[in-house]
Amino acid sequence: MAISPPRYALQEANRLGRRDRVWALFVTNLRLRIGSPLPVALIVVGLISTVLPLLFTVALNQAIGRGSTVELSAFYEPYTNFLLVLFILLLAALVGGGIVADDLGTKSISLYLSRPITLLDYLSAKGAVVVAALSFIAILPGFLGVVVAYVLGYVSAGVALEALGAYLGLGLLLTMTFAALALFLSSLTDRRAWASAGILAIFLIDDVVADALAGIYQNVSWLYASVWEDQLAVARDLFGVANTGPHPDPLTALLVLVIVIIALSAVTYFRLERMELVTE
Amino acid sequence: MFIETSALAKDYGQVHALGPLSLEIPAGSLALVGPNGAGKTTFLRLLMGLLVPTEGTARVLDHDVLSESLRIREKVGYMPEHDCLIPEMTGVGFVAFMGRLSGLPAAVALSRAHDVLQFVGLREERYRRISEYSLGMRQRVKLAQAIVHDPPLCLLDEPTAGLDPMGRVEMLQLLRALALQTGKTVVLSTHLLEDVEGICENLLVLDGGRAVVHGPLRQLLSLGDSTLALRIKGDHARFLAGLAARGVTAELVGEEYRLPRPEGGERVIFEVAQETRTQIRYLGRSVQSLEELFLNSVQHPPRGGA
Repeated sequence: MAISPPRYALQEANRLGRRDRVWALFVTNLRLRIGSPLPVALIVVGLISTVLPLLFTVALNQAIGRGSTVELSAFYEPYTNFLLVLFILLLAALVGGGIVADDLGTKSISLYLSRPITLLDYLSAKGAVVVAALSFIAILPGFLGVVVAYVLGYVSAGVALEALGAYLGLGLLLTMTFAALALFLSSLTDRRAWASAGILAIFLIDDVVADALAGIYQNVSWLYASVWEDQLAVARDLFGVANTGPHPDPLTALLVLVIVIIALSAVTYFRLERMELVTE
Repeated sequence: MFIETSALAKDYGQVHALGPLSLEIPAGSLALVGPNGAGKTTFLRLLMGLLVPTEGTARVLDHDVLSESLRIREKVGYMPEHDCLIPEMTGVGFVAFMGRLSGLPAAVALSRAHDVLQFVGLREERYRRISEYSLGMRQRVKLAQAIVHDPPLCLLDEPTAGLDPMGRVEMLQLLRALALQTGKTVVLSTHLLEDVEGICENLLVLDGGRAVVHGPLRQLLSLGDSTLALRIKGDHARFLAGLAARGVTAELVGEEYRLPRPEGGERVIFEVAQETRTQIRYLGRSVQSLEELFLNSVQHPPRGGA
C-alpha cells in the first residue's frame, strides 16, 4: 500500500457558501433517487399516460367547439385523470419512502450533519428532491400538453399562459404535500418499505374514508380530510370550472393543504432535532 | 488551544454520559482512550456541535460549539465509528460529494477525492460502488471523506474497529502518516491501547464520563527520576538479596525490575552487581507502559486533567 500524504495542489481554494452545499446535497440526492431504471420507467410511462389524455381532451373540446380555441376550463378534466394520481402516488412511494429512511438505515445522516449544514438545510434539500422528482408527472405533462396544444392552435396564448400558471401552482401544491408526507413518514423509520407503504396507505385510505364519510353523513366538510379532494377543489377554481354540486370550498381546501404541509414539515423537523439523531 | 472545554457535561435523559470536563487540549495528536461507554463518542460529537451539552461550554479552533458549530464543521474532519457510507455511490463519487458538502467547488472536490483515495490506498478501487467494498476498504473511504476538505483537525472515532490484523496495521500506518506528515491535529478515539503508540503526543483517558488522565503522553508514561528500571543477567535471587541488604526493594514488572533510586545513587546498584557477579544489561529511567497507565488511572482516582 502506497502511503504518501495528499498533495492538495488546490489547498487555498475558496469555500462555497451554505446555499451551494445545499444545492450539492439536492443534486446528488436527486440523481441517486431517480437515476435508476425503475423511477425513470415510471416517469416516462407516467408522462405519456398523462400528456396524451390531456391532448386528446383538448383536441376533442376544440372539435366540439368547431374549430374555435378551447377555454381554460377544458384543462380541468385532464387534471382529474386517474393515471395522474396513480403515477404521482407510485413515484412518491418509490422516491419519497427512502428519502430519510435510507439515511437513517445507512447512518449516513450523521455524516451529512457532520458537514457544515444544518438539519433544516438537510430536510429542505431532501424535500426538494421529492418535489423535483414528482414534478416530472405533476407539472411537466401539464406544461408539455399546454405547449403542444398552443403550437397546434387549440388554445390562445392567453389561455395557454393561464393554464401553465395553473399547472405550476397545482403541481407545486401537490408535490409539496407529498414531499411533506414523505419526509414525515420516512423519518419515522429506517426501512424504506414501511415509509413507502405508509405513503400509499395514508393517501388511499384518507381519500376513500373521506369520500365515504361525506356520503354517509351527506356533509361535504368530510372531503377536506382528503388531500386529493382538496387538490381538485383548488384545481376547479384555478381552471375556472363552475362549482356546481357539493364540493369543498377552494380557499378552505387550499388552507387545509398549506396547514398539512407546514404541520408535517414542522413535526418532522422538531422530532429529528429532539432525537439528537447522530447518536445511536 | 485547539480545544477548550469548561465544565462540559452531557446527559441522555437519566443517563449521565460525560463530564463535567474542563480541559485545554493543544495542537498535536491526541489519543482519546477509554473503555466502551466511557463517553468518547459523546465527547467528539459535543465538540462538533452535533449534540447540545447539558451543561458547560466548549471551544474548538476558537469557535464556540453552540453558536458557531457550522464554522467548526468546516474545519473539522469527522470519521464516525459506525458504518455510514452511501452504498449506491462509487468511492470517488462519495468522497467528492462529501467535499462539496464541506464547501469545495465541484472540480476541486473531485480532484481532492482522487488525491485522498490514493492516500488511503484505494486508487484502483475508487470507481467501484461502495456496496462492493470490504470492511477495510469502507474504513478507508471513511477516513478519506474525513480529510477531503483538508481540515486542520480530524476527529477519528475508533478507526480500527472491526478490522482484521492486516487491515488494522495498514490503517495505523495511514493514521501515523496523517498525524506526523500532514501537520494535522488528529484526535484518535479508541479503546485499543496499541493503536495510540507511535501516533499520539497527548493522552486523555475517559472513564465513566470523567477525565481520569490528561497530558503529554511521554510525561504521563514517565515515572520520573525517582524510579529506575533495571535488567540484569546472573543470579537474580542473590542480586535482589544484596539490594535488600542495602535497604532497596526491587519489583519485577514484565522483564525488568523497577526500584526506587537508592539514597547513595546508582553506585549502590553497581556495588551489589560486583559483589554478586551479576551483569547489568540496562539501568535507566523507568517508563510505564500505556496499559499500566490506563489500568492505574481507571482503577484509581484522577491524576491531573479535569
